Amino acid sequence: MADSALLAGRAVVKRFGGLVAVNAVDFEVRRAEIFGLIGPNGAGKTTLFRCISGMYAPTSGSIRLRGKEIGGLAAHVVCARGVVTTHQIVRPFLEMNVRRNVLVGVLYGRSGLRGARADAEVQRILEFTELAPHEHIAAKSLTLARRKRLEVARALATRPDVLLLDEVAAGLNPTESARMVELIRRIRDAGVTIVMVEHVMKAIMSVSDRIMVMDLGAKIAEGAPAEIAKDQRVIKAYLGQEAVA
Amino acid sequence: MTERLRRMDWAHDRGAQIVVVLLVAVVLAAIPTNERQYANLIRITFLVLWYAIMAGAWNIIGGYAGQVSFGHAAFLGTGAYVTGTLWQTFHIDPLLTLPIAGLAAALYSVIVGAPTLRLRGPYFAIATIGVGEATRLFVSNIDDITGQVITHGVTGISLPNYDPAKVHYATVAVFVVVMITTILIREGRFGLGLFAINMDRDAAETSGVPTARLQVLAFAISAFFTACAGSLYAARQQFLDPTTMFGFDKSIQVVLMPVVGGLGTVWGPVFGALLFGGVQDQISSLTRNPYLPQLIYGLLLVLVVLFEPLGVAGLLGRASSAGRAFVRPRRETTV
Amino acid sequence: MIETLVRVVEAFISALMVAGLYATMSYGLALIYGVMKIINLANAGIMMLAAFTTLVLWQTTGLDPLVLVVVVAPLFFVVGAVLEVVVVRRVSAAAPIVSLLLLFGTWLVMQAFANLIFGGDVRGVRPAYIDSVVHVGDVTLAYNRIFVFVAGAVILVLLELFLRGTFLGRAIRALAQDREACALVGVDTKRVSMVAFGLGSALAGAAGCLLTLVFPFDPTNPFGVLQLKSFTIIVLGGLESIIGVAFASFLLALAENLTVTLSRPQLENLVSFVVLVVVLVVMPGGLAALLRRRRLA
Repeated sequence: MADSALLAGRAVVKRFGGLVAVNAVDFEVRRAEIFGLIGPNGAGKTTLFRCISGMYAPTSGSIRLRGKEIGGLAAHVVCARGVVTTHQIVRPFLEMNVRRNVLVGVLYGRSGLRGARADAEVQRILEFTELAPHEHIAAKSLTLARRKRLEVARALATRPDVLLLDEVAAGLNPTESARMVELIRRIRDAGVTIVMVEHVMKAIMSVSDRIMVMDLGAKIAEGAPAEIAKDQRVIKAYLGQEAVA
Repeated sequence: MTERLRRMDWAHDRGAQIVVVLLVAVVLAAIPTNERQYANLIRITFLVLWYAIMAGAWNIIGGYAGQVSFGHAAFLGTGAYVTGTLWQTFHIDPLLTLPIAGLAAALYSVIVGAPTLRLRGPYFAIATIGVGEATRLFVSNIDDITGQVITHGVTGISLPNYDPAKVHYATVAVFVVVMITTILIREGRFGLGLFAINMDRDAAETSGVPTARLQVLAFAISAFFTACAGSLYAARQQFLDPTTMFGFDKSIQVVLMPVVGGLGTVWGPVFGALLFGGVQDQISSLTRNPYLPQLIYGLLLVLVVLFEPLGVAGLLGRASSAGRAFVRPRRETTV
Repeated sequence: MIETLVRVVEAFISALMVAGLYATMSYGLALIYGVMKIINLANAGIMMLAAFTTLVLWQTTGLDPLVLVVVVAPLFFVVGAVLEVVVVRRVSAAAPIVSLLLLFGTWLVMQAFANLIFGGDVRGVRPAYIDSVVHVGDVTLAYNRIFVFVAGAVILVLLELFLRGTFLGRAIRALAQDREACALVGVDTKRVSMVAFGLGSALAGAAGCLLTLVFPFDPTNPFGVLQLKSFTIIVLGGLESIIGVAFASFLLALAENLTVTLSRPQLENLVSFVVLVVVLVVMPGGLAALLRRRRLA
């Protein structure tokens, strides 16, 4: 099992002052799977994401990609190793148009493409994410759904092996949400491993191969979506705070 | 249509803009340097180009990367004093010292920038005020502190005479280099990274942009050219004192020109420099009071920030589509 | 040896005297930053205009700046509030660089304006007691410095009472903590921002008024330098508490005084700038963050 894991965390801890946001979490993500991460508000999901993507340095523990430590590396180095994240609150470069947003990912990611070939790569990604018709619109003028797509497109442009998606369906209506799920599936089918945090239960339950549940910074369950839905600890963690949608 | 626009995205007017720069340079270089009637024109040309060099250099870090430096006088002064010292003490031709002066300032900028550029929001700007003023006070008092004669304190250094014609050609050359550098940076991968940092540093970092390295590099390039301006000043004026060369008012001017001209645009700093060099020259010949220009520039700054964030370049861009194609006034090149 | 000791004690006491003024001018900056997340680069301009207003009022009415502060501070509350509504509010949602440049421009305008109206001569307010001193043991203290210290302390205490004791004051403190939450629970953030900017300006005004008793001034000096010192102080003292600001004011004043006493007078301001840069780089959260870390460790 250990050698089939693409991305693996061992006893990952992140502490802010006295607050333990992530408490000794272990996880293993396999190649080309969709790995869901759920939990009530404040469970530490986004913090864990930020530890993996290099925005935070874990307080202790190890995070390995293909057996090589990536915990504590700068975010752009983690990106160069092949792990890239989207942001929970979308953060496109607002004054740039869609095309150039994606171009940043192509030029600074792992493709190594320059000039006309970089432009062709941008075009390919715009078409893949169905953003091509909007390529000359400034990011600040996009609807939320398209901004979220752009966020995914820019991350995808860096040619990641592992794509971390932080609530890319949140705030979308059911149609938009379904289209996002469809995009996520296509990305996985293209060979990219996906780890996603999501509040929209329907989205994550339908798309994930396996799911890990966190509560109060710790892992409380892991398994196939159907098992998770029946797990007593999970139900308790959710009902303790809010009813499951 | 998209195919054509796509090509424009990359290289469309990089070449055209460089051609314009070279044409301007040829015209300026053609001004006769040894005829008395052109002396005043040469003087104003030096002033405007000198300002344009500094404004263009500042724009790389302030306009492209969005890190406002209120301390660029530190680099201006460093350049001037390195040249002055090498010239006076070691009798090296001042124009040959330009690269050394530039590198010295770039090194200083890396030492200062590596820790401070990590600061967010307004904190970098505040830190640079501290750096600029600390540098001025240090240079003013270095003789006192060390007990040796190095900078002659606030009395300044008098330098030998130098041929103004040579300075003129050197200034035009540095201006060309600065303009081409800013054009190439802006239209290339480096510039795209800087604008990404400008708009959202975290998002840039997670998209693979090595934000710290890019910012320090931009700051160093900016410091390098600012120091070259200092060297040119030394060769032209043949007198240096810390209050002038390291003065906070210099740092202020260097900020005002690109902002009023058009922050983050290639030609904005040039417009700002024309406004400063030209108008200031006219106003000060009308009134001896230096505060009238300051009042005007202060008001201009406020108005620009409130109503036309792209300054003169933005106004020109609005005025005509031809102007827009030329000055590319958008904060970031969109189409 | 004894003489050095006396000089060090003198440095301590005179640092304390200056700290009252430093804290008054810096707390305005901290208040505005706390509520609006804006660095008020026009703070120096407001201090300067207040100093000239005080000068004019002193010349026309003969009233002491210690009395005039009661008029000048409210006057600059209005100036600040108007500035906020007319200018600052327009850029409150923009990137920090925008408000920074805007207020920087405002400062330049104020400075040029004062130069055009009042000229560049060095001024000062010199009431009858200006040269009087009091001796405590071997230590000599100037009356004007004592008065300014007391006035500064009174102003800060009044401010603290306002911030803790009134609804508006509590709204300001709440806004400094969490702007979004305040908007959600129905705090009128626009109005509170206006009041905060006004209060910050009133503090700068009070500082400008009081400093006429201590420093000679012209439209440029010593306001630019004082502004930098304010940055040093709020960065060092953190942005949350009056205590932090007061303590940082004292520390900075002490460092300056000791530099003058033990080293060279020309280096007084150098200390301030070096401290500013070092503090920004080494401990961005200021002393408060440092203390908090201690407590937790």
